[in-house]
Amino acid sequence: MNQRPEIREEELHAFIDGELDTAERGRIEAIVEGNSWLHDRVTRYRADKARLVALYGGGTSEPLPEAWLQRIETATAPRRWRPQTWGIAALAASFVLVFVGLFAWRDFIRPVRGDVVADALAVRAGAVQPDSVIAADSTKAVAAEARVMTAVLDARVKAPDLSRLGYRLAGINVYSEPARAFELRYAAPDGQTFTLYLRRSSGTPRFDQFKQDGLRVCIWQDDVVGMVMAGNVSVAEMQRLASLAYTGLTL
Amino acid sequence: MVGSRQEWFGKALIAQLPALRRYARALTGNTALADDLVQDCIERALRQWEGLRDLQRLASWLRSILHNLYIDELRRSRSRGHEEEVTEMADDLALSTPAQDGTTAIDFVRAMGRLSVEHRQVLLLVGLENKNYRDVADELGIPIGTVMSRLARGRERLRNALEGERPAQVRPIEIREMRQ
Repeated sequence: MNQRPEIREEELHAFIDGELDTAERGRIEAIVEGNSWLHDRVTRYRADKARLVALYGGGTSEPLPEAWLQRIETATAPRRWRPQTWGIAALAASFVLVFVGLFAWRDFIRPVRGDVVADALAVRAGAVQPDSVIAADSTKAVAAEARVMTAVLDARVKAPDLSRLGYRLAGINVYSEPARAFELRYAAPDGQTFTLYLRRSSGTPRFDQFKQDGLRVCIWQDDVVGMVMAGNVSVAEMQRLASLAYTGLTL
Repeated sequence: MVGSRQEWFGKALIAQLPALRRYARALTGNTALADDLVQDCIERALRQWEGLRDLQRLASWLRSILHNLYIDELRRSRSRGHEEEVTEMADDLALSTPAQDGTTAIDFVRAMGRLSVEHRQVLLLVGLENKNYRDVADELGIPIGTVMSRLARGRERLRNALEGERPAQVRPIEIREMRQ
């Protein structure tokens, strides 16, 4: 008690919040354990922290006001196209359909089968042979493929540019089995491969991130497109990639 | 895809509302005011969401909007009877949360209400939202050292308020306070 070791107030709270490394935590813990006043103080701060959660943390199950939900659903519902827009779009769609021919038309009527994540990982693992492979250095071929993707996925899409995060498009694989799909292969900064598997949505919105087969996997599916990303990346890196990919997908 | 992203935003926004409402109640100490703020926050988010580049930052973006709205509200209505409003909320809380250390839920909510908004904000992000210091610093756009000093001061003031502003006992160990 006669010793006067110095602990900064901030260090004490960093200790309480688990923000210190092992060595620092051990040092502060030893001081706290050896001093009843300080120990009591830490106990009270911890109790206050726990009480904060006990008092305010329980409200998340309370039903939300219906007016809020209606307001958001109304404001974010798909915009209705005006007749003029419809006409232009129909003309453009017809042109694209003629351009890509029967090949793409066949896929419009083919139902999407199987779990998109399982299919994406099977494709990535090489269990399914691609119908065709397009090298990314062929600009015209990639541009043509974007038109095919747009037609097949029924959405205006292109290969997202992930170069801002150091990922370079290496190629596009085209599949017709088990569903008409595209695998965009990116070279990661560390030389590994990051893949983005794209196909028409099954209709159920999904967003999830998890580890499977030693890979970090992210599924992001809206009502139009299903997108499965996989690679040896951290959670934070996957979040950045997913966000960039989803926003960069739109033409 | 534009329509789809818009729908996605709507779903993501709805998914964030319970946590946002919880945060608003803890920040304001007032149920009605918190709901008004969340409603205003929804309106602003619906107007500005296209400027949000990273949907992963949605939660912190919404909290920032809510915080700004709260500051505006405080500026507009300084004369509002704060104690009475806090009491109204604390009555609800007291029903579900038993007292533990001699202080009641109402004491705790009142003590929180005496803190500055900046102190409350940091206390809630760390204590309620379980954010680490780096994330809090990023969200508030302040140095991590400022987060730490605000947290230390906020907790100390909360404790002092709970103990009835009693002067601290003689400290057998010297605690240095870092200047903010």
